[in-house]
Amino acid sequence: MPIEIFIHASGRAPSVAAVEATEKLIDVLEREGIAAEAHADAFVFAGESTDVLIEIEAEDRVDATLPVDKNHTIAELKLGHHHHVHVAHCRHVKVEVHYGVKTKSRTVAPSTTVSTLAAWAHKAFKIDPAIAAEYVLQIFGTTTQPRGDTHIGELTKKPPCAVVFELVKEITPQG
Amino acid sequence: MSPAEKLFSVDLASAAYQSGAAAGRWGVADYSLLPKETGWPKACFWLKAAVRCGAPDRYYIMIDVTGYRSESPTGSFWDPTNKTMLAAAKYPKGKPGSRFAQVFRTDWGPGVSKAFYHYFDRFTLSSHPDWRNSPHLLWTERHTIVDYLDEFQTLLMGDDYLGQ
Repeated sequence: MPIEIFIHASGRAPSVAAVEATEKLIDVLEREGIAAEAHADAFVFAGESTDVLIEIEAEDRVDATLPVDKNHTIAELKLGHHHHVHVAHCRHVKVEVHYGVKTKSRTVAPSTTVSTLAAWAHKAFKIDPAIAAEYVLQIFGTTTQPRGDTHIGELTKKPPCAVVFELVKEITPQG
Repeated sequence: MSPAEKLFSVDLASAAYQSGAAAGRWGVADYSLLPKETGWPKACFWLKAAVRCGAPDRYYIMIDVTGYRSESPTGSFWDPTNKTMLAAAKYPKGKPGSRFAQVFRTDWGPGVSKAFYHYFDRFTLSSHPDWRNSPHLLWTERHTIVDYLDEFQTLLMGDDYLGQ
């Protein structure tokens, strides 16, 4: 019986794939238009990383999430219904967040979501939890505020394998 | 099926929508909760809310998606029990002065039980021409129903949400 998984990759919208447990992930990716040649050296991550929430203050910590072998089957990778897979050319993504004159940085897996990074930024900058919900990540030098479900790996390419944000207060409608 | 309706269907089938649904953040309301005549361009969704004493675990919204995505949706909370727009007294409450309280305000006469006080709502935008001076906050053709649902569901999960 097929299950559905979500596939994320840089430069394309996420897709839903119906897969069988016995299928190799590499065959699924090929079917989804993530060509084997173009992604021969790509890293594949299963699930969404929350490693950044460990040791909030440790700026030199590198996300410990390991890529998986795409030649394994869906069952071998323990991918379940509605699990996420991320295909990236970046092994890690360097994230830098500016808040006022302060800057915090971390090296995370491409499968880290923007909402997870926002939660980290709130704690790293010690934003009062009572008002933290109104502070969001905005790509530095733009007015773009990626949705929370966006994987950080979708926002960069190799090079630079890096994303710079500002932590900004969301604008409240007035009038 | 009109192009707008087809595009709406495509976006409901997208990974972004399905991912949110799979995470229990939102879903399409059961037909039994709607008047029989409900159909395009009306759409009814439920949005998961954070646990608050005495408050529901989800709120329903009824929106009009005419002209999707060229035009932004407009709508507000829905009362599935009485099958009407939700009375202002039953709106989710937010901390005074918060963004939450402003978006779901009940003291803005023209919009109560009709439209959220938000840049994404085309009815509200039509009466706030000055909002167009901040184009980066407005709905564009690149936005989808997922952006709309995400915006309001995120508010309902935040610390500024106090309950019903």
